[in-house]
Amino acid sequence: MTIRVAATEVSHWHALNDASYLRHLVAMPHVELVAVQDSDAGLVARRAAEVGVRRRSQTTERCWRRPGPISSWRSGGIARWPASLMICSISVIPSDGEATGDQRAEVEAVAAKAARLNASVAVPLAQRYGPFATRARELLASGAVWPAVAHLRSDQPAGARTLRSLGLRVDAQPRRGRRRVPPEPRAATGWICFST
Amino acid sequence: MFLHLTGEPTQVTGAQLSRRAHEQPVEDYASVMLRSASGILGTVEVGNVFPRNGTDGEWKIAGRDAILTMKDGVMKLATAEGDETLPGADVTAPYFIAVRDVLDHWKRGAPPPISVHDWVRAVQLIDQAYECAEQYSTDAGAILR
Repeated sequence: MTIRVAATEVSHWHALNDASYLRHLVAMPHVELVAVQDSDAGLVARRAAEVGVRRRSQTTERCWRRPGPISSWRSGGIARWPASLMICSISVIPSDGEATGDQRAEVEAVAAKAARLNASVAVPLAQRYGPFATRARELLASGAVWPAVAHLRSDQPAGARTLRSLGLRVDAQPRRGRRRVPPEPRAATGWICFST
Repeated sequence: MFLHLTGEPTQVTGAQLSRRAHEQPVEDYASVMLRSASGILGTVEVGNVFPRNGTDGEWKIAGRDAILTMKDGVMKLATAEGDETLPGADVTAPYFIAVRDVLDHWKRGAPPPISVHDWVRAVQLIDQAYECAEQYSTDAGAILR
């Protein structure tokens, strides 16, 4: 049973490890990366070449358009294929309405939509899988680090030159001016939203 | 991460933001202070200013009897008996595990291991942080005037 994946917005500036994500995906058994999308033509071409994916586009609609591997999945029916999967960044979460600049409202809208569609929306929050999180939770549970204080600091690469060299770009908008989210692909019944 | 570690309802008690490093419309730095329901204090800093393909960061949780830190892929537990160095992880390893875990759940038809509902709790804190930072800016402006 192969899970077919399309990845969108693959040059989002926080997505330092996007290419790593994609390389992990293409190396996994029973996972097929069928398309990548980004609004920047040059960057999406670069990402596609990095992971050996021929199907690329600048819009999410084109990413999923017939004839293509996703629609051929659709002809198979859900009983035969588990689902298609769309990987998107935090800035393009499919939701029903205008972006509000209020993140909680936007994410709650996604949660409500997921419930209505019986769709699975996963948020990796990958740091939770690391050894630090595991050990810290053990220590907290045992009372060894109590009263506790936590300091969590991370710094990612940025700067115009660095971002260009990494195939990333500043695509986010200020909080009160976030762009309207694009329509979701009809073929997808789930999303993984990578965020930082 | 703070929510995951504490497993408790949490409030933002202070926040400051900056976009001065890159002068982009979005922030390149934020520091946020948190307090959990039982009184665990947290400071979360996020920056986007590392000057090459790499990262700089440090995670620490400290209490009366122990301090657990992780920096540069090395995790260390300091206690009264001494330091214990523990296996750490490289930056991308958890991302691979996360993706694999999501796909495994997906194939089994199980709910995602970490869902959008967990995310709601996190973005609630992000909204609080913006409100806190905006309030601070307003107050500081008033004082300066």
